Amino acid sequence: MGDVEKDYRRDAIRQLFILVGGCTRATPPQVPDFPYTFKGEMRLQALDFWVRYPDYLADEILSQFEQSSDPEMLVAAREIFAADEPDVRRMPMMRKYYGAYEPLDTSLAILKSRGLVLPRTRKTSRGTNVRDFLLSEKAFETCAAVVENFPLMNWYRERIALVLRIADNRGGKALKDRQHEQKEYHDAQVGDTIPTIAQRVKMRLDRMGNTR
Amino acid sequence: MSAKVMPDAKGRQVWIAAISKKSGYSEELVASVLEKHGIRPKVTAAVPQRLMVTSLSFTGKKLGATPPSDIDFGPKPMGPGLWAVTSQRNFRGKTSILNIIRWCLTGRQYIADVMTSWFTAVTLRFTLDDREFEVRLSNASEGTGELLKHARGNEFQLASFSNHVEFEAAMSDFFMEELGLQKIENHIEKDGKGIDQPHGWVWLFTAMWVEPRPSALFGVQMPGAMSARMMQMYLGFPWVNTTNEIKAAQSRFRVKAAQSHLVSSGIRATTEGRIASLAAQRADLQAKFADVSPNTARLKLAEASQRFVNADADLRAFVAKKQVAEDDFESAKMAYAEARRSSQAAKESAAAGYVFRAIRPVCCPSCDEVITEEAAESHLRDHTCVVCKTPDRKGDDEEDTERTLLLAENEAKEQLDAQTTRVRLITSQINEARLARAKASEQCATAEAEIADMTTVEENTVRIQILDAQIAELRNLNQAETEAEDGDSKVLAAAEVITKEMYEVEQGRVLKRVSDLTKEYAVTFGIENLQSVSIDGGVRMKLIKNGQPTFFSKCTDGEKARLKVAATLAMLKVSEDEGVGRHPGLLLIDSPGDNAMVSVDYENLVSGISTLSEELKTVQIILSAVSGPVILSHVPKARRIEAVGDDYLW
Repeated sequence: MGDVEKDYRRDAIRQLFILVGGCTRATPPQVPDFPYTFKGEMRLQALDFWVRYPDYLADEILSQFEQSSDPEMLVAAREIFAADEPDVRRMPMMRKYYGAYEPLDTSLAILKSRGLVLPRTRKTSRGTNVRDFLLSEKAFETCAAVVENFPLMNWYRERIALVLRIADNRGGKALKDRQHEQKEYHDAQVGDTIPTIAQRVKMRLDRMGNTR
Repeated sequence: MSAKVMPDAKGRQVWIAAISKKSGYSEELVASVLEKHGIRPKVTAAVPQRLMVTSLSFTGKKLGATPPSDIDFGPKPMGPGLWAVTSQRNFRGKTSILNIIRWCLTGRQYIADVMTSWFTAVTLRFTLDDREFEVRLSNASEGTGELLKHARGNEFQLASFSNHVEFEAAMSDFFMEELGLQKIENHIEKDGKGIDQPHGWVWLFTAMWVEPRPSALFGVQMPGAMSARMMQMYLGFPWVNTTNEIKAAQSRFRVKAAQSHLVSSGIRATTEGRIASLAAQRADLQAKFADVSPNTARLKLAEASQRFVNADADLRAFVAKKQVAEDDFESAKMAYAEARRSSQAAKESAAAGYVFRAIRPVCCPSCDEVITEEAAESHLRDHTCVVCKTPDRKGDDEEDTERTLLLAENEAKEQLDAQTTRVRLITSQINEARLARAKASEQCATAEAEIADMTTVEENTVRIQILDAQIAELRNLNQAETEAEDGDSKVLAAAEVITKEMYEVEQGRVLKRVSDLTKEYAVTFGIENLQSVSIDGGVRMKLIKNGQPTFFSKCTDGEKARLKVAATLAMLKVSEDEGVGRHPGLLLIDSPGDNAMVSVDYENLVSGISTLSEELKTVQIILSAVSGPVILSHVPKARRIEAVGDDYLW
C-alpha cells in the first residue's frame, strides 16, 4: 500500500487544490462544516486533465490567445514549455469511454477521512445524477499549510488558478467537449493513455512567437 | 665512259644508270622523267645516202614581160660531181634554178614572189643512192603535184599534195624519213608563252646551201646550239637525236618552269598567304584556349564528383547516425523527464505523506463512522491505522530515496546532455556534410559547365588539328612542286651531260678529222697562211692564220664561203670514209663569186671544188656563177647549164 498510498495522497493533494480552487461558497451550506461546493466530477476530471497535461493546457491557452491577443497568454504558454512541463509535469491519464478519467474514490477517501472533502450525489434538473464535492474550511487551511510547509506544492495552486482561468467557469461537459476537440485526445483508444501533443503545441507556440 | 655506247636497249640501260648516278635519283624516276619529256633514245642508222638531182624541167609563162614569154626549161639531166648553172650576165635565172631545185626538194618556194605565178609545171628528178624519185608539180603556182618513185619501170605515188603546205609537208616527211633525220625542236618563249619551234627538213636543207655571204659555218645562223645539233645529226653521232630531245625538253622545261614559276610564284604566294592565314587562325585558337584543357576540366569534374559522393555518403551516414542519436536523445530525454517526474513525484508524494499523516482521520471514508479521540490515541500507541488498523509501516528513508532519485536524475541529465551534445555534433556534422555536398555539387555544376565549354574546346582542338593538317599539306604541296621541278631539272641536266659523254669522244675524234680536212680544203680554196682549223662541238671554227688565232665570224665573206664549202666537203669526206653520216651529199652553191671574192680566190675555190668533186665521186655540187674563164676552165660544158650572151637560162 506504500507506493499506491503515496500516489493517492499526491493525487489527493492535487485534487484538493482543484476542489478548493474551483469551489464556491454555498449559502446556506448543504452540510454543516462544509460550506463550500465544487460542482461536478466531470468538471473535476476535466480540470485535472489540464493540470496533468500541460501541453493540452498550453494549446488551449494559445487558442484563447489567438482570440484575445492577451500577451499574458503567450507568456503563460511559453513558460509551460520553458519549464519542460509537458515532460516533467505530465501525469498520464487513461482514456475511458467519455474521455480522460482517473478513479477518484481512494484519493477522495483520503480527503474525506480527514474531514476535508465530502462527496455528495445530486440529481440534476434533467434527472441525472451528478457528484458534487463539499469542502470544509479545513480544506482551505490544509492547502495553505501545504504551500507554506512544502513550497514545491505551490505549483499546484498556481497551476490550478491558471487552469480555472482558462476553464472560464465552463461546466464539466463543456470542458470535456472542448478537450475532445483535440484529435489525439478524442482518437485515443479506450484503455490507452492520452498521448502527448507537446511537439505540435511547441511548433504552434514557435510560430506564434515568431509572428508576434 | 670509255666504251662506245649505242642507244640500243642495252645502251639505254647503261645510259639511265649513268643519269641516275649523276642526278642522285632512282633509275625508275629517271626513266619516268625522261619518258615524260619524250626523250626516247633509239638507234637510227646514220648510213650515208647520196641525194643527187638527175633532171630538172619546168614550164610556165613569164608574166610582166612585154610581151609575156613562155617558160620551157629542160629537162636538164645532171649527175654526180660539179655542175655549174651559168650565164654571162647577172639576173639571168641562175639562182632561180638553184631555188627551183631547192623548192622541189623542200616544198618551200624560194623564188621571188613575183615569179611564183609564172610556173605551171615543174619536174625534178632525183635519186637517193640508186633509188629514183620525181617531184612533179602539175600546178606549180598552187603547189599541186605528187612525189613519185620510179622502180621496175613503174612510177609509184609516194605522196600527193594540193597546196604548198601539203607539198612542204610531203617533202619534209619523205626526206626526214629517208635520211634518218630528226626534227630539232627549239623551245622559246614568245609573248610570255612557250613555243616549240621545230626545225625540220627546210632548216636542215640549209646545210646543203651555200650562200654568197654565209652567216654560219653550217646551215644558217641559228640561236643556241642549233647549228651544232645539225652538224651532229649530219655527222651521224649516236645519241645526237637523244641530245636534241634533251635540249628541246630542257628548253621547254625552262620556259614552262619559268611560266610555271610565275604561276607557281603567284600560286605559291597565294598558298603562303593561305598558310599564314591558317597559322594566324591557329594562333588565335591556341591563345584563346591556352589555359583551358578538356582533361583538366574532366579531372575537376571527377574530383568534384568524388567530393560530392564522399560528402553525400558522409551526409547519409551522419543522417543515419543522427536518427540513432535522436532516438537516443529522445530516450535520454524521456529518461530524464521520467527521472525528473519521478523525483518530482517522490517529493510531492513525500510532501503529501507528511500532509496526510499530520492530519488525523476524523471518520471512516467508507461508513462515515466518526473516529473518537480515544480510538485515535489507541491506534497511535499501537502503531496501527485508525481507519483500517493496518500496522504502521516503517517510514521510508526518504532522504535515501531522494538522494537516489536525484542521482538518477543527475545521471539522466548527464546522459541527456551527452545525447544533446551528440545530436548537436552530428547535426553540425550533417550541416558540414550538407555544405560540403552543396559545394561539391556546385563544383560539379561548374565543371560540367566547363566541360560543356570543353566541347567547344575539343571542337577547337580538332579544328587546330585540322588547321595543322591543312598547313602541312599546303607546305608539302609548295615543297613538292619545288622538289618536282628540281627533280626534272636535275634529271634533264644529268641526262644532257651523260648523253654528251656518250658521244663526245667520238665527236672529238671525228671533228678533228673534219677540222684537219677543212684546213686542207680551205688551203686548196686559196685561204692562205692557214695553219690550223679547229671546229668544236659547238660548230665554232677557230683558225690560226699567220700565227694568229681568229674565228669564222671574223673572216671575210669570201673566206667564209670557202671555209663553209671546205667544212661541208670535209664533213662529207669524213662521213664517206667513216661510213657514218646523214648529209645527203648535195651542195648548192649560189654565186660564190658575188661576195667580192678576189679572182684568184674564186678560181681556187672553183678549182678546188672541181678537184674535190673528182675525189668525192658521190657528191653532187651545183653552183651558180657568171660564166667566165674560171667556170669554163674547170667545169666542162656537159656539166654546165648555161645561157650565153644576153640569153636567160629560162
